[in-house]
Amino acid sequence: MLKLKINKPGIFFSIDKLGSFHSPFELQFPDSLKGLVETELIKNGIRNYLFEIDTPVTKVKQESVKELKSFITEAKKELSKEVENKNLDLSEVLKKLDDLQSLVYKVIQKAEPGSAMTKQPEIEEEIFIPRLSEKISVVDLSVKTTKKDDIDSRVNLLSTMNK
Amino acid sequence: MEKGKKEILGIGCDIGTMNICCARSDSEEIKITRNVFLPVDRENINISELTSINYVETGDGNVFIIGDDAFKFANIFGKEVSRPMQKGLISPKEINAIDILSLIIKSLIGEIKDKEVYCAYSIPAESIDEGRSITYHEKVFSRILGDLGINHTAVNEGLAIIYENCSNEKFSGIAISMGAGMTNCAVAFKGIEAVKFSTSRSGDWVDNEVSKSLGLIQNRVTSIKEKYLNLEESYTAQQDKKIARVIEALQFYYSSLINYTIKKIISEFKEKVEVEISESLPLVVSGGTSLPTGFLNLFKTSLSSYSLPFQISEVRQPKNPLTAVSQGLLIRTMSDVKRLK
Repeated sequence: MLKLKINKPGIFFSIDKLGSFHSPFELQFPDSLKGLVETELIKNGIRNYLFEIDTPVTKVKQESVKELKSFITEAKKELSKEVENKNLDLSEVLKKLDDLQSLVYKVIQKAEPGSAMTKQPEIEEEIFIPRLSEKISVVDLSVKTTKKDDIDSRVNLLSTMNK
Repeated sequence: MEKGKKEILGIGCDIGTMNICCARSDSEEIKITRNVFLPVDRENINISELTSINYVETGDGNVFIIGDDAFKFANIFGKEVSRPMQKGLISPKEINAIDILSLIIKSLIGEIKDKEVYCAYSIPAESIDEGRSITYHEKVFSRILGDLGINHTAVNEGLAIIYENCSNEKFSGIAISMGAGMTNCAVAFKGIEAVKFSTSRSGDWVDNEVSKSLGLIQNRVTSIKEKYLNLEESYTAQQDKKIARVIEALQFYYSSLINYTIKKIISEFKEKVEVEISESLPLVVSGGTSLPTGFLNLFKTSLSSYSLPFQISEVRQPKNPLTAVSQGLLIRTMSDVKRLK
């Protein structure tokens, strides 16, 4: 994985497999997309960029996540066998374990650098979509007008059909 | 009205590349303004000279003339207007695009204080000949409307035309919306969207090709097109030689655009569309690019020379092709509101 950070604001950056971004932004992407990202950077006139390598951290974390997931699955299997053999009603315990499992998975997903990659567009939309500048005042815009039709019958028909 | 209960207001907002149109449930009129702006050099202009013109001044000293005034001003002084949108989507080139769009939309929507507001806004379909995604565009407008405190939903502009024009067929039809930035095609059965896609050629493509061919600025070509183009009469009917030359070129490119659009629609249906259209459907052609006199006949004539992969009962235009989308969006909003009650 590679990491790219663009601090200069106002640059629109669009790559098919990654999505669209308005700078400033920070982006993680697989090595295979390096060429595409470089082309987009050059198109936008950005020459002083630096890719950070993110690979070792990702790999180590992904390995430990795998181990943790298989440990939980194995533990569940063992417990189920115990319940069957001893005819004990431990369904409540298993339910708690299921809850624990989904909780652990949620925590893992949040901590996993790989998942940040797939969620990047959401993060970008959340942070980088600009809003109406407070410096611009609202004006009384001059407009043309045209008469609106009576749309009641069409509204009724559409709403009836959608029901 | 019950005490404490807010009055419900429905809005249909068509966010087009060249025009933004807004229809409100509490108004008999649909408002339209140009989606353009013109940056003005602060040092070369005295603000008092702009008193009769719509402009905004930013805190960092930039002055922008917006809407119809920008278009008029640019044509008088031979300048190219800036466009917040390009090919149906927010322009990546214009840093000020979103501020200007927010401002225009807020001004067009008007007073909404103490009202419970619902709005359907238009979005294009993904283009089959241009790789840009519509997600960013859709989310930006969702954010703009959300910031204004408006409940909103995005609706494909082709589908909006079917809401507006195909009630006799119970909202079944094929819509071709030829705006400035792109041409959108949608097929709906009984109000349900079945197929949608767009092509990146439309009015701007015509204007741009003519401007390149004749060495004119694009908004000058747009202005001539809107004032003089008649697709049923020869360009020689025009007395002014310069204008006649532009009209001749416009006629060439209009014909080329219509043929390109029909071919693309046919190939898309043949190669990718899995839906089987068993009954004849009306084909509705709309949008600002379909406004010139003679457009519908030219479209029908061109269409007759192709073998289509679907059956058409009739080819027609809405009463007002420029505002049909906003009216269709308002129909959708009010229908949704009715179901919510």
